[in-house]
Formats: sequence, C-alpha cells, structure tokens
Amino acid sequence: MDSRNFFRRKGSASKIKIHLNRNKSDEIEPLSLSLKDNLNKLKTTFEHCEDLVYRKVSSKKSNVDFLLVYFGEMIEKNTLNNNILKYLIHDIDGFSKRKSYEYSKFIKASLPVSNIEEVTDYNSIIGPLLSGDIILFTEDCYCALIIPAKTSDERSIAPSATERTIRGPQDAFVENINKNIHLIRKRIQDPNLAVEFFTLGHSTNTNIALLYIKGIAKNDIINKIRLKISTIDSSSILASAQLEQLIESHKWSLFPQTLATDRPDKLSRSLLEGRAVIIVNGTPFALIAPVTFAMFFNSSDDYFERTIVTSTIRIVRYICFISSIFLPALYLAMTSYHPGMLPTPLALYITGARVGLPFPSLVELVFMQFTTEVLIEASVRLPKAIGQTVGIVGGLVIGQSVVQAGLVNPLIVIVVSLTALATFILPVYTFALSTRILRAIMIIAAATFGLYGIVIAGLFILIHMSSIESFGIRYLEDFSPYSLSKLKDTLIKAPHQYINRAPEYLNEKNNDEV
Amino acid sequence: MDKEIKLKDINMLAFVIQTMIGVRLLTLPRDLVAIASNDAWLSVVVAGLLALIIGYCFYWLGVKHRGLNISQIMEVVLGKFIGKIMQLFIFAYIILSIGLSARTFSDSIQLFLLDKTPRVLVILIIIFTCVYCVFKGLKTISILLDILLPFIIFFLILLLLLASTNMDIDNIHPVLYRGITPVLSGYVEIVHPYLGLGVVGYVMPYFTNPEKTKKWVFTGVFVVTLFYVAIVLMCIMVFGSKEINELVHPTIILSKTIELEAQLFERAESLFITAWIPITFSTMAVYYYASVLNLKAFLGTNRHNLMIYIQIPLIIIIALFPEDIIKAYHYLKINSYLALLLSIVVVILPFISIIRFRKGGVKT
Repeated sequence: MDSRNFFRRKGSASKIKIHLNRNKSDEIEPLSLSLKDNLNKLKTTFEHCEDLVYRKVSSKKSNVDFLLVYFGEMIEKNTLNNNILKYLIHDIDGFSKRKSYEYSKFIKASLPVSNIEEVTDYNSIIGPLLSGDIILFTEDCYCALIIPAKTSDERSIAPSATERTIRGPQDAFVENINKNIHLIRKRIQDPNLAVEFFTLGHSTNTNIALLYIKGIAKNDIINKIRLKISTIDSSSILASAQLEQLIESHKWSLFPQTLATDRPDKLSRSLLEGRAVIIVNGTPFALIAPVTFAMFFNSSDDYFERTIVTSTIRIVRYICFISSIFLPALYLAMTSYHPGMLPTPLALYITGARVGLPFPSLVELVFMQFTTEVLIEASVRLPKAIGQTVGIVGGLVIGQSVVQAGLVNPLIVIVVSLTALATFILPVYTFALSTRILRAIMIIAAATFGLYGIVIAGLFILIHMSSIESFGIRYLEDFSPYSLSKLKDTLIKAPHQYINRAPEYLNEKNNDEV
Repeated sequence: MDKEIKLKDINMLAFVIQTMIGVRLLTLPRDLVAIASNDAWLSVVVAGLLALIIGYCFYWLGVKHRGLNISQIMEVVLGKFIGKIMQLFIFAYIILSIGLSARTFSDSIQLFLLDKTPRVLVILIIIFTCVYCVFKGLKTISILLDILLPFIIFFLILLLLLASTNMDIDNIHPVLYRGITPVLSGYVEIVHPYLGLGVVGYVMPYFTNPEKTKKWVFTGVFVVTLFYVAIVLMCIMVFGSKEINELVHPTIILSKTIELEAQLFERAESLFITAWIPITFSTMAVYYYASVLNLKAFLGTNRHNLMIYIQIPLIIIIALFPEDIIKAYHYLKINSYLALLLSIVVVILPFISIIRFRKGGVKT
C-alpha cells in the first residue's frame, strides 16, 4: 500500500464499514426524492426503535426542507445544535441559485463538520446510523449525508490494571478502537504501518483493525490472518476473546495461540518484530499473532531493566513454569511410588508427619489443590477490600487449621502454596490459567504411574506443543531449529543493540531461509 | 503430507544423536565387556570410525539421489527385486529394534521404577506415545528432538561427572593384551545402536539443503562416539571387567556408585532411569517414523496413517514375545547381525550406484 492510500484509510472506521455494508446487501436501493417516502421507509426498518429521532427542519432563508435522523443518546448534542442545526436553519443561504440535486454537495461543503459522506443508497445509511452518525436528507435531492457526530463518552487513558510495570510507560488501551490505533501510531510514526478495517458480526457490527508493518511482517502470515478474519461468520463479536477463539486453529489446545494485552508498548514491539496486531472495538485487549511459547515469559518490564537481571528473572520464570506443573505431581510420585529417592531424613519426616492422618497423599493433595483454586478464583473476582480478607481466611485460617485438624500433611501445604506462587510469577494471565489444567493432568499421571507417568505425560504435552502452530509459525519455533540469534530474546534477554532485528522466521527478507 | 516440510541443516544433529543413543546404552557395556574384556572401549572407538564411513555413505546417497529415502534408493540402485528384499530386511530390523527396545526398556522400568505395574501397560504406554508423536509428523519430531537434546546431554554429562569420583584407571590396563580380534568382534554388539544413523537416509529428503547436513552428521557421530566411549570406559574403570559381567544394567548401576557429600537423592538410579525414558522414546519414535517411510516404499502406498497403525500390533507382539530377559537378548543378537548386514549393504551401495549410473546421470 502506498502512503497516500494509507492515509486515506486512516480517516475513520465508518468509511470502510459503509463499503462493507454495501457488499453485504448486494442490491442497491436508491433513495427517494421525497422526504416523506424516505421517512416512511426508515420508520418500517426501525419499527421497534423508539429512541430513533426524526427531526424535520427547514431553512429560514431559502425555504428548503431537511430531515435529520439519529439515535438521540448516541450523538454529540453540541455538534448537532451548533454545527448542524444552526447552519441549516439560519446561516446557509444560496439554495435558490442551485439545482436541487446539488443541494447535498453544497451542504457538505458548508457545514463545519469533518468527514461528511454523501450516499445515494438506502442500505448504506443503516450502518452509520446504528453506529451513532446523523443522517441528513434534503427535499428533492437523491443524496443523503452521513454526518459523523458520535459522542465520546469513553473512559480516558489509564495505566494497565492487568500488566503493571515499574519503569515502563503508564498508558494502556481503552475500549475505543480509534483511540487505541492512535496510541500505536503515536509510537510507530512510519508510513509503512498498515491499518486494515473489518466489520464483523451480523448483529454487533464490530469494528476490527488489523495492524502490521509492511516490509517487516511476512506476507504469508498476514494473508493467513486476513483470510481467517474475513471468513468469520458469527452473529456477535463483543470482545477480542471471541475473535481469538474464532481465528485460532487449535481450538481444543490448552495453550493460547494469540497473546492478549492492553499495553501499547508491548504491541508496538510486536509490530516491529513483524507480528500483526488485531484490535477489536469495545475491548481494551488487543491480540498479537502469531505468537510463540517463549513470548508468554516476557513481561514489559524486561525491556526496561538491566540485561543480566532480566535474563536471570526470565530463567526463574521458566523454572517456575516447570515447577508449577510438575511440583505437586513429583511430590505425589516420590512419596507414594518411589520413597527411596528421597533423602532418608526427609522420608522419615514425611512418614512421621503422615502418622495418624486419615487420607492417602492423593486425597490430601487434590483437596488442597482444590482449596487453592477456589481461593484464587474468589480473590480475582471480589472487590479489592474483600479480596484481602479472602487472602487472610485462605492463607492463615485454612492453611493453619487444616494441618492442626489433622486433615493434611504440612508438607502438602508447602507444596501447594509454592506451586500457586510459581504460577503468579507468569506474566500472562491466560497462560498461567492453563498451568492449572496441566498440573491436574500431571497429578493424575503421577497417581497412576509414578515418575514414569509424569515423564510420559510431559512428553505428550511436549509433543502437543511441538505440533501446534500459530498462523504458520510453530509454537516452539524459538527453540528449534537451533540458532543463537533466537536466544537473544527468549531464554535470556540480550542488550538492546543485539535484539534490534526481527526474528528470522517472521522477517519478510528471510523468506526463503525458513 | 510431509512433502512441504522443510528442515534446516542443524536439525540433523538432534536426529543423529538421539537415534544413536537409545535404551541399548543401558546394557551395552556389559555385552561389550563380555567379548572384548577391558578393551571394550576400543571397540567403540573402532565403531565410531566405521560409523563415520557409514554416515558418509548415507549422506552421499541422500545427496546423489535427491528427494529419495534410503528404501527408495535401494530399489533404484539394486533393482526392484533385490531392493524389495532389502526393504523387507529393513522392516524386520526396525520393527525388531522398536519391539525389543520397548521390551528391554520395560524391564528396566520394572526393575528401577515401577515394580508392581504390569509390563504390558508400560510397553503400551510408550508405544502409544510414539504413535502419537509419529502421527504429528516429522516437523513435530524434529522440534521435540531439539528440545530434548540439551536435557539428555546434560544428564549424560551429569552421570559421567558423578561416576568419575569412583573411577580407577588401573582397571583398563593392560591395553590390547588379548590382541585386536576381540576388539573387532565387539563391533557386532555395537553395530545395532550405531545403525540408528540410518535415520539420515530417511530424513534427508526433507532438508532444504541436504549438502549442508554433512557437518552435522559428522558432529553427531562424533558426539555419540564420545559418549559411548566415555560411558563404557567409565563402567570398566568403576567396576572392572570382572564385576561388570554380573551386572545387567551397568550404565544405571554406575549412578548407584555415586557418593555425594550432600545426600540429595538416595537412589540416584531411579533418577537416571527417569532420564532414560525420553532417551528411549526419542529413539523409538524416530525408528517408527523411518519404518513408516520404509513400509510406504515397500508396499508402494501413500497411506501414511494406515502404515502407522498396522505396525502397532506387530511391535506389541515382538515386545511381549520373549519369555525372559535372556531370550530378549537372544533376539537382540539376531537383530545385531541384521544390522551388520544392512551396514555392509549401505557401504557397498555407493559403489554400485557409481557403477550403474556412471553414464547418463541419476534418474530420480
């Protein structure tokens, strides 16, 4: 796309939407010349919409009739009063000099509102009308005008609540798609940053933007994503999470194949690496695609702290991920199948602690694991003030009294709480959630086949992870085939001057090598 | 279905190392010492040198007959009839290898990890893991091998380092006192795991630049030989050539001798047998994949998944067939001769290829 074409697209989402709507209902239905016919037609289409306002006004100076149609609660009253009504009724003069079919062109040029659209097709006014634009009909003119006047009652830009950083930028995405695109464009001031709009959902008409950098992102990947998005046939898309499920290819996998984040810095970095970003109107969480396994271990703060510290923390995260999956299972396997592997004093201690306990280790472990899951779920949803109480009740009261009541071995409390802590260190919440299921699988494997079961289950998960791909990029692409340059921003993080280039497998220029 | 898979030359390293190091390494030191006594490690060195030649043959054939795997090459070079017979031999060799690997592996698992679990279950589980892996295709296998390789090498080095606290150099003396013959006959024992190199012949068509893999085939053989020599040498140095004959799994018992100041693990052999699960699995999975390709060539079919499934019962039967561990080793011996035969064929194959296709070039 050349830059001129691209700036034209920058304008507003509604333009493209009109275009798409026109595509949707192929037949073109011309507007009537008479205001009354148009009014009746609209009234049948919007029969049940009592909030739709039809307003007839006429110009004082020229005696021309106009019909304004809009949803009262969706438009900016100031624009309507000061920039439209005032001009139409009092200020505009000169209709008498013009032919009636030139009226709309004349009004378009006279009104102090930007981005006015002129249409002749009945079907193409419905979309903009529903999205909060004002439609202006003029008597004896076959053209209607779409005047953008949406209210901007969205919340203002605030720090991210889900991914906090210490040294990073403190702005995060909001629900408004245009504001979000603006946040990205502010960071990447490059004419090659491409923005493509889609409208999806028969009932929701959700605006979706696909962003990528031409020349860096691989065409194959972008085409794949574009194809996936444009072939979606769904009646409603309310949030990016639904879109995520609709475009990913392994729907039953435990591992997320797109990365959702509301941090514009993270998104910009992904764009510069050659990935695509999908923004959905109404959700502050944009999607990054394609993703690899290693990306779920990167936090935004990694890029704002010193190399050695960051690299160490990264390695700690990998260890935590592995132990969050394997720790309870290993404990179970060691104590019930291979007690000989434990050092003698520890084995003796566990035996001593287990004397008098009524349940087998498996029951204790499942019970405690269940309690932790409940506590975590409870504290996520509750208001902040009560959330702390849950922590106290869960951590102190249950933890302490379960041991005192002789229900659970204290070592199990340690194992389960260590595991829970290990999951909290993972920077991406969606990813941390999947470790819960993996952990359960491992506990089952350990309960049936001990260490052998754990290793086999681990192999199964590894095979699954090696086999899935996200838009043509293998999930474990970062680790295979071996390449030193891939290590720079995965297991460790090299200083910034070494990781300036996009990964090989995403880079357009290295197309033939992969 | 796998034609669009493109592997990078460095993938070859993991393929070579992981197919050559398998469950056989657990018992190999004992079998070698039984033949070559304390010169067993020299057998491994000799085998390593021969493996370089065999590896080069596979590589040469793969480059010359681009796009064909070794089964297809045999048909092209040796003619249809002899080619089919060779494919049958390969089929027998591979399926015996997988079956007996599963068997000896389940024996070790029963001995060190799960003494009460039925053997059938252990065998079934490892075979179905392999089936799942092969089902997912070659790219998945190569990624998996690449991920497993660092861990496996780490465990082998750990084993060697820990055991080295107990070694006694005098045990390998005197060198070559029974002459060179036992050293050479020891080769028969080791030829079987070393023919894992044959995987080169099967994965070669999937590489973007087959010419570039030479470096990695040789590196792989070198690394494997290094580990084999080190482990056999370590077993001899720690146990002595007499004591080793009494041990079924000298490599694992090696870890038992580990004496650490801090007692992290009471029974280190359980830990190492655990590490051996992925090692066995990766060998079996790659063999399985090779077998599928070989069967496809033999039956002249393209039904990939069917070829995977029809082998499952065969492998299970072979794994369960030997009554005891001695019988299992008997069949392993047969397999070793089969491997020897195939190695010889592979070495002479390039010469036949040169003679047959001297004029007119290769039709592929």
